[in-house]
Amino acid sequence: MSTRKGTWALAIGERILLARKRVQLSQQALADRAGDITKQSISKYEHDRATPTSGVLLRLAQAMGVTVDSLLRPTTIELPQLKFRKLQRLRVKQTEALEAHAQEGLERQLTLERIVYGENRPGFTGVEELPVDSEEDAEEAAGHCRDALSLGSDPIANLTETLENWHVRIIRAPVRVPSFDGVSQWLDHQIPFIMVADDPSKSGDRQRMTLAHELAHLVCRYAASVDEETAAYRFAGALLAPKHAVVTELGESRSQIDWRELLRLKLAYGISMKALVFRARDCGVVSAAAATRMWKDYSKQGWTSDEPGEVPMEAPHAMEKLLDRALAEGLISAGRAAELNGMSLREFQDQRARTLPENVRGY
Amino acid sequence: MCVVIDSAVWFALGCGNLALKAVQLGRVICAVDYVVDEELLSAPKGSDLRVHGLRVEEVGPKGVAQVAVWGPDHPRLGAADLLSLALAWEHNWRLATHDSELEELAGMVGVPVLCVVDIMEMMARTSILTLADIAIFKRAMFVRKEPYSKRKLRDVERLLKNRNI
Repeated sequence: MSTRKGTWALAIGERILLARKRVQLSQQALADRAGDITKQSISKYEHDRATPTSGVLLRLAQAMGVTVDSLLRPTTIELPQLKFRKLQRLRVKQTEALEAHAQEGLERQLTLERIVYGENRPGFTGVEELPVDSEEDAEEAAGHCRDALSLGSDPIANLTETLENWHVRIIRAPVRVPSFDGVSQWLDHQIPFIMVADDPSKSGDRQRMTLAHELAHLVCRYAASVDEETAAYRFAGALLAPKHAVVTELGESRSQIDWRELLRLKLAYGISMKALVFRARDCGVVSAAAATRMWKDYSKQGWTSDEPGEVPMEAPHAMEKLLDRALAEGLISAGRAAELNGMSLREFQDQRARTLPENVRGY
Repeated sequence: MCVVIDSAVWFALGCGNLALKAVQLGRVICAVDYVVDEELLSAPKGSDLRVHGLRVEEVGPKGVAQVAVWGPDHPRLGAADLLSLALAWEHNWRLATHDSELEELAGMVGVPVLCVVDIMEMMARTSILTLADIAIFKRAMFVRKEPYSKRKLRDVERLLKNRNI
């Protein structure tokens, strides 16, 4: 039996090199971090002059924060460079870490989708590129999305799940970068994805606003005269709290709104009170002057950092659903499922066992 | 000949608390997974536990290169599954698995395959398995819905009962 050295075997070195560059480590730094490996050995692995043992491979994977599997299989997606917003002001290292999370998360999900659906992967449908020539157009674009999702004027109970059902891939990046909330992009012009910060210090309503805002960047085409960020926020507000709902709840014209009214709306629609003041102004319920007065009061209350009313954080479940399906259909081994879930088999089995009550597990 | 136990079979044995007993077989019993099981690492000295968590014993460069060859063609198998097979292939050992695709791949590269009950039979023959162990194993497998050959297990039970007579 030949090892076919020179084909796939060669690719291991290339994958080690790419992973090392992604985490911005020198050969020496990687050797130090992995322990008991020399810089010269790493150089040999990367240039395919030697193949590491599994023990070395495991240490290298751990040192670089990637799975062993990712070093043993070819990369299946070519992630374009993520376009972070200018306001996010990220350092190079932070950008690279976020790109690595996106690559890893997307690769896992798309691999699993390929296993489950084969070539018939369900696609994102329902809206064509929506032209936004003014802020009002952004409001209209949000209405188109609501129509495509058959949402009417009702609150969106779980925006993450709604978007996942629409085949937008949602990835959580476990990074604590204050200026980073989310980023979105199309992969191969077919697969939309949004990566949101998995940061417990951020609120659920902020996460929902980020998701809706990023959806705007995915589906809208902005005219040069339009400020993209402002329009995307208008879209996000209109998606979470449509004009009809805002006017029905608050009335057509008000001189002042009580914070308790906005708190009730916040909890119902999962959108912050501050954003609701914007909505009230944009929907013509309050004047611009009244809205400014409210924001000043909002700041005075000290709510900028800690707003009353808690909206729960949302978690994506598409991977979980696909894993359950793949396992039930015998499409993947338990070991592979654990690997795609980023945990050991034992942790994975325990986690699965915990999700059902004891008396149900046997059936 | 030594046996490499793949992570799923190792886990199945662990369900019935048989993993530690399997170590006592005294041959090289190996399990490949990403996490070192502290309990197993503190297994009795002389138990000849060589591999667990890919840290104690390792698949060599030849085996790793082979996994990189198999991997793209077998997307439903995990790296741990393939490394278990590579270990057996590299050393001409046997592989304990109950995954049909891994069994097939093992057959293609000439690695003899055992199932979890075969390991139990080995344990029964060396008198380190009891009928009580089998009862616990069966209950655990029922609860976890793990696959195993009930017919083969009945044979193991018969073997133990005959020995007790």
